[in-house]
Amino acid sequence: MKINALISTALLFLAVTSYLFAGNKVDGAKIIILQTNNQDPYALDHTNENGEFTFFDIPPGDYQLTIQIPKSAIVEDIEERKILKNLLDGGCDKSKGRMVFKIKEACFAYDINCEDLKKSKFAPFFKITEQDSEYIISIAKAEIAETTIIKGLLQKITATNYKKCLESGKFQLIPECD
Amino acid sequence: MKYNILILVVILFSTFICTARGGNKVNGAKIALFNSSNQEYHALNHTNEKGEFVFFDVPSGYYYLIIRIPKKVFVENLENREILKNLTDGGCDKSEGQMIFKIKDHCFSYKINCEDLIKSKFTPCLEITEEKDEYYVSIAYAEIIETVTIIGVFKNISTKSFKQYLESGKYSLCNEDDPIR
Repeated sequence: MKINALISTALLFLAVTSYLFAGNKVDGAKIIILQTNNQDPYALDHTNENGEFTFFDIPPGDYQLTIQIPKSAIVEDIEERKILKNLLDGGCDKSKGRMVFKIKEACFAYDINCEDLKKSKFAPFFKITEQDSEYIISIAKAEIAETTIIKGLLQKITATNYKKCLESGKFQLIPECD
Repeated sequence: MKYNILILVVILFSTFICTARGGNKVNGAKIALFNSSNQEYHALNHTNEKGEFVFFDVPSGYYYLIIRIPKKVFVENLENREILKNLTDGGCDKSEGQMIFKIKDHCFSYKINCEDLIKSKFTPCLEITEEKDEYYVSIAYAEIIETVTIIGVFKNISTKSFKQYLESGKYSLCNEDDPIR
């Protein structure tokens, strides 16, 4: 009985944690793979309803991973602003292939299947540029050595989760991630 | 023994047909889905080394299927020109979801997984526009009702194959008003 209760509590805890960290799809976000040599998009797609994206058979070459987030996805939130006030603009966990970053009061997480891309090199290259109707976020420079499928996830996360990520000690400052 | 030879001949013949009609990847060609509501690209990609492409999880909406072919792909071929001279610019086999078309001395085929896209409507609309560095080819107008994955193959085919396709009677002229589904 005690074991059952313990399992139930653990499951509930896991469910709540997963839910909290799960994040939301960013409506209208475009994920772009730019060719470094000519800055032309090699591939472009939108995230699906779970925030996932897939690029099929990317050939060897040098690329830049970029996101375009419409300004409409970033709304004012005083409560979030308070939490984010003294936090860094972003960080990355190289072992997991995850980057977190903030724009104004909105926080995002970007994951890719790094573990499957062993023959490729990803150097975090973080830069946020504000344009008329969107933010353009440079995420990383990629050197793809073999034709590969890039799978990933872009989600909006809460300011609390963003803080937790940075405080976990697994995320390094972006400029130190190369 | 006779039976074996027959099988061998059939296999050889099939291989020959596949090779003849197999086609090649078009280097540098971009395959795109253009959202007609907001006039922006929803997705864009290049074909892989077999000429294949995939667009995962395309949400409901109205799209144009587009190909952008760099001009450097087009080299002069007088023999091809002679064969193509009196042939129509393109045609489509709606039951197979395949369209073929020609630009100058070159022929192409574009095929998508129509049979899996039962709830969507594809209206062929072949329009070739010449731009500075590339040809911009509109293939079809798509009405996607439910989120779908579009899988396709885009290849360069020989002039002979193009002629054979048109002569098969399965390909009708493009620019028809009735949708594929």
